[in-house]
This record gives sequence, C-alpha cells and structure tokens, in this order.
Amino acid sequence: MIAVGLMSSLATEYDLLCEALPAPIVQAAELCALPHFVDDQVAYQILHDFANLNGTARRTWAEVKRLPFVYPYEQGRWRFIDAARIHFSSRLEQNNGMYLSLHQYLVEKLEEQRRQVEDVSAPEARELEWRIAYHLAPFHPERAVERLIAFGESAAQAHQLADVRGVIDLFEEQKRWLSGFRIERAYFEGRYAYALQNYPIAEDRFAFVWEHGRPDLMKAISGHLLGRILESRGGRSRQEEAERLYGESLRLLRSIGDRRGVAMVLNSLGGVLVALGGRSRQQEAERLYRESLRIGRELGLQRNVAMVLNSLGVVLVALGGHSRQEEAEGFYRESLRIGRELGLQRHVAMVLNSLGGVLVALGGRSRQQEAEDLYHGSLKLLRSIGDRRGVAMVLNSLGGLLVALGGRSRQQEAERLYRESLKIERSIGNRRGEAMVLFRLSRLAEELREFAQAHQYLENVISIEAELGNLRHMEQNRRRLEELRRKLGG
Amino acid sequence: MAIDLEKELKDLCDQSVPRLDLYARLVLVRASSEAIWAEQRLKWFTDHRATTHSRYIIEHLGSILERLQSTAQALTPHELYVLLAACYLHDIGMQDFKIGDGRGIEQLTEDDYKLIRDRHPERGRQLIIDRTLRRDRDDFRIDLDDDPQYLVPIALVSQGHGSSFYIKTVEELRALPNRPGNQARFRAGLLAALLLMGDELDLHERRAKFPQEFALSPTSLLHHYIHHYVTSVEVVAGRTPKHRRIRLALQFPRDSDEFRPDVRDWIVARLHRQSELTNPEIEESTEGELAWDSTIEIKETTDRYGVRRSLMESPASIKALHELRRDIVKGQRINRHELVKALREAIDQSRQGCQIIRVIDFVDSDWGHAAKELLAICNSKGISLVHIAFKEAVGRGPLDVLTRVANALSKFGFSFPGYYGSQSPMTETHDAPRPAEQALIAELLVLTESSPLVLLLERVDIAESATLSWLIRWFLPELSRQNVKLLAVVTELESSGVEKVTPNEQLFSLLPYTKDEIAEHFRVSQGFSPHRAEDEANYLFSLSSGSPSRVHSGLSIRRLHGLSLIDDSGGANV
Repeated sequence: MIAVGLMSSLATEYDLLCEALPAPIVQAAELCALPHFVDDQVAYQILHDFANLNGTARRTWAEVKRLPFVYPYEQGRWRFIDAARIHFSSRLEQNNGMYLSLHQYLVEKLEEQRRQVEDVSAPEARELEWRIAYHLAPFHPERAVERLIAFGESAAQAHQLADVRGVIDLFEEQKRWLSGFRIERAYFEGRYAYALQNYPIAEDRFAFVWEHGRPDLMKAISGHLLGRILESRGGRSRQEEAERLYGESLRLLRSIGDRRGVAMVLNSLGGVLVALGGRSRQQEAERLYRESLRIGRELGLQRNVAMVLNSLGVVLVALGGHSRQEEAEGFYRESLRIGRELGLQRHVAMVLNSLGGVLVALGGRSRQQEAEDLYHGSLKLLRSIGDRRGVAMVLNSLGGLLVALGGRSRQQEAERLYRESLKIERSIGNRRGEAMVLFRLSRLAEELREFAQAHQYLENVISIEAELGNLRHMEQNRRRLEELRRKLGG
Repeated sequence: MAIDLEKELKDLCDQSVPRLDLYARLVLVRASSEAIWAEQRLKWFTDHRATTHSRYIIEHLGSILERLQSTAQALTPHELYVLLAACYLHDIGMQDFKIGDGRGIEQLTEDDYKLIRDRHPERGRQLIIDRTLRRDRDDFRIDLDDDPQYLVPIALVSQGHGSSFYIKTVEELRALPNRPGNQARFRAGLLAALLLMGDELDLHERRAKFPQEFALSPTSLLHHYIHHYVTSVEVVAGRTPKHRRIRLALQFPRDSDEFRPDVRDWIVARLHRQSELTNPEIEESTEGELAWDSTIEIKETTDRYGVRRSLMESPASIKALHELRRDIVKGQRINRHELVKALREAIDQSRQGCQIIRVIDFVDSDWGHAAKELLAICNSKGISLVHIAFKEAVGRGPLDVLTRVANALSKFGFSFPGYYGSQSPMTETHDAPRPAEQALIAELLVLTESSPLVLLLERVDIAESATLSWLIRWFLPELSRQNVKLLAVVTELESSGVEKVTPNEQLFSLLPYTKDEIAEHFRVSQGFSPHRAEDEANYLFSLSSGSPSRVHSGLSIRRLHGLSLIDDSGGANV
C-alpha cells in the first residue's frame, strides 16, 4: 500500500514529504521558500551561499523545481504554493540564525536588482521596493516600515491601489514583526478603503490615526480625508467638523513643510467654506484657492491645479459680478485644457458643466448655445464612464438652461430631464441631490401654475432637509410653502 | 551471475527425452532475424538490430531468470524457445514500410514513421505468421517452421512487447489452446511479460547513434540522448532472493544539473510502469518465485572526460529536452484530459484568431501541475508564454499589466517600438489614458501574425477591482474583438464570480479528484492492474479526500520510495 501515512493536514503532508526527500533537497526547499518567488539565478545563489551542497547547488535546485508544490510563476520564475511556502519558511525559522541571515541577504540582493531598474515607476521597481520592505521586517522592522510608508504614500498619491493593498498585505504577512505599527497599518487601510469609497472603514481607520498618531504627514492626511468623508455625508454640523479638521491638518502640514498637502487641503477647506455659505466664507475660500493654485503651479501639481481652477471658478461665480464670471470662465477653460491633457475624464465632464453654468450666467444667445453643447458633451462623457451622480447633476444644469430659455416645449423637456435626474439620485441614495432636484421640480411646477404639484415637491424637500439636519434654507422654504398653499386657496 | 539462455535452451533440449530440436530451430530464427536486420531501415532510430539489441535483451533475461531457472518454476525448453525466438523477431515490424497506400519510402512523412513505430508490435505479429507461411519475391525471409504450436505463441509474445498491446496480448495468449510439446505448463503470458521487460532494459549508450545525416524529430533525438546517458543496466537480487531489482548507472556531462533529474525521472517512471504492468503476470505465473522489486537503484556520475553530449547543446537537443519534460508532466497528470486537450487545440486555433480559456481554481488544487504542463506544452511547441500572476498585488494595475506583457515579450526578443507604457503616468482609475493600451494591442496584432503567443493571467479574481474590470471588460474583449492571434488562459478562484469575457470562451474547473480518476492514473500512467489500481486509489483517496495537492504529494512520496539514488555529490541519495 502506498507509503503516505496519515495526511490529516497539509503540514503533515509536507512533513511526510520531508521525511522521504533527501536532506539537501529539504534544506534547499526551506531556503528557496522564503522569497515570494525566485528565478534560477537567485535560487542558485541562495543555495550556493547558504546550503552545504558540495558544489551541487544547481542540481539540487533543479530537484526542488520538480516538487509538486513548486510551480512556474511569471517569466522564468518559480513559486511555492502558499501552504508549502508557510511550512518550509517556518521550518527555516526554527534555525533562527539562518532565517534572519537569509532575509538580510535577500534585502541586499533585491537592493542590487532595484538599482538596476532606472524607471522608479516601473512595476518591477515598485515590486522590488515592496519585497525589500518585506525582507527587512524581521530584522529591522523600523526601517521596513519607514520604507513601506514612503512606498505606500507614493502609491496612494499615484492612485496605484494595488500597491496600497500590497502595503496592507505586507503588514498582515509580517505581523509578527510589524504588529507594533498599528497607526501606520490603520493609515494605509484607511487610504485603501477611501479610494474604494468604503467610507465607514476609511472613517474608522483615519479617526484612529487622527486620535493616536504623531503629528506627521499620515496624521495630517488622515485629518484631511476624515474631513472629506464627513463633508460628503452632508449636514451643517459635519461640515463644521470638517472645517475644523481641515484647519488642523493644514497647520500640521505647514509645520512639517509638506507644500503638496497644503495645496490640497487649501482646496478642501475652500470647498467646505463655500458649502457653509456666506459671502465672507466665499471670499476666504477664494483666497485659499488662489494660494492652493499658486503652490500647485510652483510644484507642478497639474492634477491639483486642474481641480483648484474649477473650484476657483465656482466660488467666483458664487461671489457674482460680471468680471468675476469672466475670470471664472478663463479658469474653467484652463482647467478643461489640463484635464484633457491628463486624460481626467470625470474632471473634464465636471468642468464642462461648470463652464456651461458660467456661460449661461454671462448670458447671450451664443453663450447659451455653447453651454447647451457643453452640457451634452459632459453628459456623454459621464454616461460613458458610468458616473450616475455626475449625470444627475448635469441633467439638472441642462434642465435649468431649458427653463431659462423658456417656452412650453423646453419646459416639458426640462421636466423630463429633472425626473430622470430624480430617478438617479433616488437609486444611488443621494438624499441631498434628491432634495435639490425636487426643489427644481417644485419651481418648474410653480412656473407652470401647477401649484398642488409644486406644493408636494416642496414638502418633500423640507422633509429631506430636516432629515439631513440642513436647516439653512428651512425658513425660506417654509415661507414659500405657505405662499403655495395660499395660491392653492387653502 | 546471469545465465546464458541460449546455452540453457541447448542443454535443456539435450537433456530432454526424447531429445528436442528447439535449439537448432532457434539458430535458424536468429540467422533469419540477423539477415532481416542486416541494415536498419529506420536509421535515425536507436539501434534495433538483432545482432545487438536482441542479444542484449537475451542477456538481461538471463539476469532476470538466473534464480528462477534453479527452481521448480523454471522455464521449460518450449517456453524458452518461444521467448528467445520472440526476442529475435519482436521488432521486425519496424523494418516494414508498407503502410497500405502504395507510397514509397521517399514519400513517407514524420507522421508515417510515427505510425510505423506505434504499430510495429502488431505488424511484427502479422509478419511472423504471414512470412513463415508464405512469402512473395521481395519479402524478407523468416526461417521459422510453420509448426502452429510455436508459431502463434512466438508471434503473440512478440506483439506483447509493445506496452499498449501487452494486456490484450496476454489475454489472447491465455486463451490459446496450444500446449507446445504437450506440456502441462505453458506460460505464454509470462513470456510476453519477460520480453517486454527485457526489451525495456536494453537501455544503453551503445544504442545511441545521433546520425548526423538526418534531421531527427525531437522524440527520436530524445531517445538517443536517453540511451547515451546510460552506462550500465543490471538486474540484481532485490529485497528477497525472489525479487529482482533493476540497477542503472547513468553518466551525465558537466552542465547537466538542469536536466539530470528529468532524464532520471523519465527512465525510472518508465521502468516502474513496465514493472507494475508485468509484475502480476510474472508473480502469478511463477507462483511468487519471481517478482520485481519496487525500488530501482540509480547511480549517477559526472563525466570527467568531456565525452558526454549535453541535452542543452543545440536548439534541436533543447527541443528534445522540452519533449522530455512534457512527457514527464503528462505522465504525472491525473485526469484533466479535457483541459489539456482544449489547451493544445486552442494553441493551434489561436493561429486563426483569439482564443480564451477560463480555469476555475480551488484551494489545494493541482494548478501548479497544470501550469507546469502548460509551460511544457508551450516550450515543446516553441510558443512564447507570457505569465502575469496577481498573487502579489504590487505593480499589477492595468498599465502595469501592459508594461509587464511588453517587458516579457522583449525578453523573447520582440521589441515594442510603439509602446511607451513605462513612461506613462501609472494610474488605476478610469481616467487612465488609452494610447498605451492601443499601441500594445497594435504591436501584438503584428507580432502574433508570425509568432503564436499564450497569455496566462493567473488568479485575476484577486486583482484590484479596477484592474479586474479593465481586464475583463476592456483588455480581453479588445483582444478578442481585434482578433489578436493568441490564447489567453485566465484563472480565478472558486466562486469569485468573474463575469464572462466572450460568449464562446471555454471553462474548466480544477475540482478535487474522484477515486475513479486516481485509479485511472494508476492504471494508465503507472501500469497498475485494475484491481491494484482501485485499491491504491481507495487508500489515497481516503487520506486526501481527493485534494489534488495532497494526491500529488502522496504520489511524489511513492516515487521517492521507489528510487534509490547514489550520486557523485557525496551526499544526496534517496
């Protein structure tokens, strides 16, 4: 009968294999299982330098490649299946001196390979950077984390989500050595969750970093993004809390001299001030945006510059006045140009909408015509990338333009667009957006002298605003509701 | 000490009352056979001549039967005569080029030669009977008397030396009414088993010729190399006097580290298979007085004089090495016939247009083995395999994938002048620019017109959702839409629910093995009898629950236990 014995677990299975295999092959498997994968050259070097194989390192490696748990992995490399890798690495770990020396050796080898890759953004370079941090962890955890933070931050800024997840994976894989770095791990978990729009997890992690972190870049960014999450949920108290977080993050970033971060937080702070409303806040926002724009231009942060130009346009339009509107138009057009250069489709779609808005405000038939074209362009782009929230917003803008142009058929078309927008807002659960569309519908219904309908829409608006705690227009809406009631003769 | 079986026959004939003329008959058969093999017609094959190959088989049989001939189970002169005559005649089918369509030798193709090789045991049987009974003018002569009590057994025993004919031939032999010499005992099945093993054991460097005047197929060339590395074969006493153990000495060139285990595994697997195949008949027919030892001894040395040729010495020999590796992984595979067939067919069909095969993987599956086989198939077909795995997250965003594909292909010697992926901003958002992607696909369109390509995307389910979406909704559909001539193999873990790329993609699952699949492997690939295969499969299944990873580990342990290796490293031996 087959000489396998009881294989009650994979560990037992590998133990049995180790009993059957010649000792040099077992030793070679232990050594070569430690890296995530190896090519022939690296495996040979490891065996040559660490195993006492009497000149048969290459031959022994050829034997290891034939084992059932070793398989081809990417170009000319070999990898142990996960369970085998864990098993053989833990066997090696029992020989503590060898285990740590091999990690150290691998760091040196990988550093050498890393130096040969000129392009730091190349996937191979990034992968090597990550692997260096991985092998540093057991014998120099602080250096590993330092390296990991630099790597992870750069990945997060470049929107390389897979790399950010790699950082989290590394904290998990090497948790025996890195368990003391809870803040750093939480920070990257927050960044990853935030990028995936998993805001409850992101909020939890950033709140942890904000509360327990040292006054450094991670804390500042956590504060900034925590503010963004709060702000996105709506409601005045959250906006005020976001304003406070932005302010503190900004101070922190200025103190550590991170101008890139300063530029970004200035933009967010400007945004929340605009949202909180009031002329003085809008003026403050304009000042902040201009500072952000200046820094962004100095540092060549094209993406940020494109965003701020749009924000600046929005606040200028809000502050009113023909010259500000004209300046806003210039900013939008520049923002559009940069966005197109960078291939930022969503941004381009948003700016098309903003530009359309300012053209409508500036007035004149040709500008209105251009605005209508811009809205249609924006809609097309948003639909192609599946941004439903954006589609709803532009439908509102287009509807507004049609209402402004007047005429029964345009009003009917506007109503159709608003209804489509309402359907989207409801389907994505955007209560704030829903209230805005209902308000527009109520206005349109009033204009069409459908007072009962207008009254019903407005009642819904008030109810949603109350639910969201947004009391800013409450009084004004109630007064209008009364007026509608009177018109209804009630 | 091996016995001289021809002398043994002569002695037995002389001692018989009345005296038998079987030795004299054998002398005529030997002479006919040597005449038939005066010139080996398939010159690019290893040496199959009667003067050499047949005689060495008889020598090995002398070692195998050494002890048995001193027991009550010894071969009778009638059995010995049939066995020795079959030793001389078993390969004559390889000297016959008539394949039934009237074409001459100059018109035969590689496939025709393969057919000649594959069918030669059966053709040999036909020739032995036909040419003994009647002969046309140009036909070769077989000086075998037409005594049917010997003629049919000799023909059938000869046929049984081909392993694919062995089982049915033994069945046919058992059913024969013939009792040569009217003896109570005539063990024709045993004779077929002995001939098969004797033939298999004629592994030796003297059979390797490497004829320069022919462009050998990888398979033919491989056989020359295999023989070239065998310096001796012995059959010695095993764990008991009744067990016979095979002992081989191999010698490899200095640069053989990479392929030494492949050659050894190939030989050992083959000998184990044939011992398993023949053991039941041998053991039963001799009432347990003769059996194969389950261990094969190998002694390996390294050539110090530079006389051994390397399997990595030329492009042709490297092809032979790829063939060897493909053969080994194929022999170790359990089921997955449909998957491998689909992969091979899809590789061929990819010359017409894009093919996609999806593989559903499971924890503890045999994906590693499947990956080894895919690599071996690609290597043996000379196809570039680009493998992108998502096991590690870092550096595997959409544009990273493109960069990796371009880099991998540049290692195969292809350049991508129009692709600047590594200089583009790396981003995984939907805002990613498309020119780099389009440029790579345009280059792939050109490249795959002349060089087939396999793109293996491993575990796409653990790619970032944006990357997965890009792969499944854009990249793969675009390859398919533009009909890029490649095969994309995409693997994902069970229940990951990755959507289909195209409606006609093929889907396979690496499900745990069933008992029947394991039994089939023991039976077909390892030569076990149906009953024993079932027993072993039941046992292995009970230990592994069919988990492919565990089953393969169990089989590896089994292989390790069946080999005793002594090499010249001063250490490693099993």
